[in-house]
Amino acid sequence: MAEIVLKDVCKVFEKDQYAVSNFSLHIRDGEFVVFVGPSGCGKSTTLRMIAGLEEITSGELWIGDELCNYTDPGARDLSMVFQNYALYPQMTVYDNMAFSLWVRKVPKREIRRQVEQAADLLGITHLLDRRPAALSGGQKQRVAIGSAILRKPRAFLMDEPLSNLDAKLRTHMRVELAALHHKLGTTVIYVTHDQTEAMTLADRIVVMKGGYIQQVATPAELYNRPTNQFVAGFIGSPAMNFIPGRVCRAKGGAAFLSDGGQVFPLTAAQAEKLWPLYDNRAVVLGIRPEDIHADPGKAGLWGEMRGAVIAREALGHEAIVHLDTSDGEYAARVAPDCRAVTGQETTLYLQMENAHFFDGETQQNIFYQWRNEE
Amino acid sequence: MKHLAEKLRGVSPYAYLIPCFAIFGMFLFYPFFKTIYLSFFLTDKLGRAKLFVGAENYTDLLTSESFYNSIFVTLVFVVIVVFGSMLLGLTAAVLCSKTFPGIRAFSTAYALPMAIASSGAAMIFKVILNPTIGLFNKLTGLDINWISDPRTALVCVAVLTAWLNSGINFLYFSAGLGNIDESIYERASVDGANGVQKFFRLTLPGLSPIMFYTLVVNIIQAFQSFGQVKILTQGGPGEATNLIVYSIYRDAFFNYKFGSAAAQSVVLFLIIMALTLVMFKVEKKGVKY
Repeated sequence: MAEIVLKDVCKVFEKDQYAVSNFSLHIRDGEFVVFVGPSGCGKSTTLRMIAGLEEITSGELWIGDELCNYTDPGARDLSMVFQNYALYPQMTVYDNMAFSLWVRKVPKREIRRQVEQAADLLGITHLLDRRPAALSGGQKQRVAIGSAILRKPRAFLMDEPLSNLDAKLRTHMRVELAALHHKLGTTVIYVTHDQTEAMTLADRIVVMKGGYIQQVATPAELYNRPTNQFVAGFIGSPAMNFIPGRVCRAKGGAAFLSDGGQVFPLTAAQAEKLWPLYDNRAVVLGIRPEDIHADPGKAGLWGEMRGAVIAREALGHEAIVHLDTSDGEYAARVAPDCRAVTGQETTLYLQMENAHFFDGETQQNIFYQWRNEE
Repeated sequence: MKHLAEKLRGVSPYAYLIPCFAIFGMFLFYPFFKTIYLSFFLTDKLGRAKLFVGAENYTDLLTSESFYNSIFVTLVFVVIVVFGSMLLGLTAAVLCSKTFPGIRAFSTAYALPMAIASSGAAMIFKVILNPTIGLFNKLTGLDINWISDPRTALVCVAVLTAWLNSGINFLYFSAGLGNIDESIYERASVDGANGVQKFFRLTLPGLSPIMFYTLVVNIIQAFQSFGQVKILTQGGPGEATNLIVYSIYRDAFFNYKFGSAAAQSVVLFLIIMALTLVMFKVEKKGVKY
């Protein structure tokens, strides 16, 4: 086991086309780190650079206390689980799992012991004589993970390992992966585009976009204190609602005037920060669906949002109401007994204390610094 | 009227098969059965059956030393050709499986023998292997009469044939390599396998389905080699390169023994058929996944 440090790692595929730019990260020993981002954001490339499958154009990669930029993939002592599992099709499950030990010339008896132990841990002992073609997706997944854990590597690298599974199995395997990490305590670097996987599995999440790290934080921090509008919109489902507008003077302080003409009150703290800095400049108000309510509570500051209900999705324990307002469509997560009816006008209430504000130009969270200091 | 239309509809699928069967019949089935028929006769110089001799052509063959020599020479030839051409094709395909500048030029070069007529290639080899002015002796500093020495003639013809057949093998193997999932090599790299281990544990087994097909085609093709023998050695020196197909040609068109030639053709057919059947039997055990 070891910590992994990346310093200003860059990857250029074609001239001046950066797939990954200045990626710096310190992954602690035993940590579960998830790289998340839309496709093409460089997360898989970064993982493949750590694995040694892609050359590092510039920067440093340290595994333990070794500089590993030019170390052979096999000598880095990492295990990788691929999106398509990459099982050797002509070998049995046993041979597939044993392969990494076989190339290291581990004695046969020792190989057998370790394979059986890993197979037992993952419940695939009965599959050992089969070939990959005779396995279901979930079984292949287990074999791939089994092959990876068997060698007791310094870290596991997982490249979207659950994306080929159906929704139910994915949830199940997610729980198993978390339990496995808890049991083994090995460092894991996990790539996914699925924010649910990222939120549930990670100790820390690295959000990437366009080859750049947007934010590195724990799931809770990422959710509550997104550094910019991209991270705010990427994490959370349904996504955060964004209302473009500007800050204007109102009686007793300042208010947020949306481009569609809606006025939302600001708390004293928000007004104090926004008014002098953002007078007549574009600001985007971000509000999570769960901070929009059907009824205003007694305490707190509430903004009113009026619009026609275009859809109401009843999910049992809650309902998602999609509202068409003068500023566009917004989603609200409300209690199942909410009376909003599809096709009718209704008013929903924004809890302004929980609103986020983003700079209209830079898209940075205006209160990020301030909230950090708090 | 309606009745007739229905009847025609029942017949029409077979009608579509007529052109195909006409061509097969004319160029395959008729010559095949005619050959079997001729193998029981003595013929005149134009190849017309004149005297029924029963199995005499066959008994003559089976007591002829020359025929056994032909079979032995052919077997040696086939082994060298099949092994050589598959090794060449496989090596070339593995070398060209990675992209690098100029890959197209290399691929074309490796596939090219496929497009060269065997007799044309034999002419060139004849010049290259010429004992006095030949390039090969000049380059190696050897002084061997490659084609006229009974010890080397067969090897020369076999190597030439192996090279000629390697082009198509290169294509087969390239296609086979293209079918192997790239990510298993990546996993093997991370697992710590070296190039040799990857080749023997991943590439070769991954090629096993195409390998079998290539082997069958190559064996049949090697048995039927003719042009290069005709041009390069004419079956000689002595009978050192007298392959069965060349022996058939010689019996039929030099000695006008069409009956004997037909009998040899039938024996060759039986050998190839038996080999193919055996290989298909073995395939079921040998080819993985």
